[in-house]
Amino acid sequence: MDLLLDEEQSQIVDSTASFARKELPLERLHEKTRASDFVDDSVWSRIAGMGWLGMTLSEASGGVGYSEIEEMLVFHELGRVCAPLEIMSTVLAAKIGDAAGQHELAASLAAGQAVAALTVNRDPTLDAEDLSSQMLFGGSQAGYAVHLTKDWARLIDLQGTDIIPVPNLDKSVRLGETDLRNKKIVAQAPGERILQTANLLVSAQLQGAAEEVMNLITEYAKVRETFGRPIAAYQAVSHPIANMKVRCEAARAQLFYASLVLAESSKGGTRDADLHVSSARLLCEDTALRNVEDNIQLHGGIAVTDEFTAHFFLKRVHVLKRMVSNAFTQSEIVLNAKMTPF
Amino acid sequence: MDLYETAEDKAFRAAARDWLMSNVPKEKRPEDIQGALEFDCSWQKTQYEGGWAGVNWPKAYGGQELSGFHYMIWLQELWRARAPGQHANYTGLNHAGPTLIACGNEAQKSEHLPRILKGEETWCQGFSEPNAGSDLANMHCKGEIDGNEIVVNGHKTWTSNAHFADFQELVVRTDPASKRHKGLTWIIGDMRVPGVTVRPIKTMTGDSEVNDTFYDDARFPIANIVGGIGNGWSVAMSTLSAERGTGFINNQMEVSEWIEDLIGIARKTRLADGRLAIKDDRIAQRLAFLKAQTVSIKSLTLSMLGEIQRRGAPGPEGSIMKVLVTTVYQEIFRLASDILGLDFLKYSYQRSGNMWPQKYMWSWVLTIAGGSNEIQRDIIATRVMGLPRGR
Repeated sequence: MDLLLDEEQSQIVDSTASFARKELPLERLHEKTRASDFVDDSVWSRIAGMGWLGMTLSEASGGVGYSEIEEMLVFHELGRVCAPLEIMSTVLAAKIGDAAGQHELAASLAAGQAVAALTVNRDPTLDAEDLSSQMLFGGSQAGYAVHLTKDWARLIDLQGTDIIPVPNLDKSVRLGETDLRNKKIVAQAPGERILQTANLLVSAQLQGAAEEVMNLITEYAKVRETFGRPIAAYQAVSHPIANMKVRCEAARAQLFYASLVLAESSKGGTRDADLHVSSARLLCEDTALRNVEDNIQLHGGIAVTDEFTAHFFLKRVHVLKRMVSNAFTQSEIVLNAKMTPF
Repeated sequence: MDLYETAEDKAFRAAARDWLMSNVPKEKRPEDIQGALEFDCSWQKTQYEGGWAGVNWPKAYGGQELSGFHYMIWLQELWRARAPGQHANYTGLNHAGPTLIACGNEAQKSEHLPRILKGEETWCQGFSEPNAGSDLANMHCKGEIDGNEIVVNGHKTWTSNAHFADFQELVVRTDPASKRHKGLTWIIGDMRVPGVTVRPIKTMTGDSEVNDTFYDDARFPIANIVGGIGNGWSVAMSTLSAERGTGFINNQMEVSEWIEDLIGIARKTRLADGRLAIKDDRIAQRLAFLKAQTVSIKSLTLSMLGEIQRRGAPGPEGSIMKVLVTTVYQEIFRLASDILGLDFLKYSYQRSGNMWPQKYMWSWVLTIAGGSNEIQRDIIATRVMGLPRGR
């Protein structure tokens, strides 16, 4: 029983990190260099080539036998570079196809031949099954929309759908309003597990962002000087950084633990997956939000400039916060969940 | 990474559960100091005789020489069985014992370790002084070598359990010319020698479990020096890192249970406006977040035990656990005040009374003692994250 990475898991982390640094550097998000709000086709096919889009699929869909543990580790790294959200939504789409027995569809998504976006209900007064007012996260290239409810995970064909672009706080994520009533549902699977996985992957990206900004400010605090000393020498700076670390370690341990519980539950175990995933989500979200804010404050003026990277993380965290589930729902799950004593 | 206990872990857990079923004392821990002390020591002896004391201590000194994981399992099973806590034996089991294992000589280990495990001797700490709390290296309590003895004069404070302990982890300045971390010496201080006076300090909870301890030409044999003259600082640090390593497993289980209790209370307690407390969104969210934090403390314990196992020793990361556990503990009782309304005020200044205000007040002992959380944040910043020192 432990939370240490084994050799293969360490390799996955390393290869993901080096791919992300090379192919998805943060600099790509700067306005002056940004070509579009989506990665180009060649990068997308290299992403597919990394195997990230279908890590947990069944053999019939061309899966390679990884679990949510390895998947979580990949998204943890992707969170550090504010990776395209379409990676997560396409992963979820392939899972829905796989769970619905549509192996060809799952395999083609995993191979990078189609892209999926995630959709959430815009109008909270409507029933969860009412698809008339939707907000799509991810964009013009998307052929499918992933729609998640407590009961059902659905993959909807976006062909011929009118999508009205909406400006987004996070310019690296395309937003669009649409009506998905009467659209073709190409795959449908029971919701619970895919919803849990989606929350795990959102949490992993939040956690990656939280850790990355902590690393940024830690390095900066060593070299930036005020009054003749590095700013880290002041407890007004070093203690908030220490608090970032405390939050990060608790959230990271819970994220890892949740991935283990979820992976185990696929083998028939039912060990409090809801409690552990929702706890991870609450903690990762809080950690990310507070860390991206503290990162700006502690960097000082430089961090409010467009040129600096701090705002990418701030904006991305506010997008991720709205993905899949919200803190109210997660709180309710945690409050009502029974915890198995050891 | 895995969640599975090995067959051997499972067998250990099952055997522990089985033994506890028939050996946990049925009677309540007495309220009076002497009665409580005898109760604690007798329960410790029962564990020793059953072969369960010192799970991760060396076999040579009466332990079982198993891993930190086994110790965690044992503590979990104790908790599950509603077994009495360590109380009077806490310092011996979690501070003095691990320090002697790490830094003591053969004679010191064979004399004290088995007696600690058998519940035959209790310990108290002797680090803090009136001007050496957070600034621990500012210790002035004086130790002079006189032939085969070391003569101690000075004043220690916040000494929990000094009113009954047999021995003390006594750190004194043996080199009068020295400053800060140098020139300190860690001694096994017999609390019964002439010249040691203990004066209780009454705290805001109404209890007096901490004390001032005064030394007036108190003499200890130099054979009681642990780790050599002048090495007291590094010996003391090994004491503290042992505590920050596995010393919080019990707190972890406590907070998990209390948050569930508090959620239960919130489901049936009405706020001043007549609504059930759980229906108040702010309260519900704080409860949920705290519960998620207690869940994460368990995960972090697992993560840290793995690291300790891999490295062979606890590192400065224990400070992360200390800050997390103590702040969660405090927030649980702060929230209890919001939920309980007027009932929170019902406190009769008895230990067995209303736990919510009692532990609320006690929470500052946790956030201040054993290195205040401000000191822990310094340790995290400098030793875990590699930031430059501010002083």
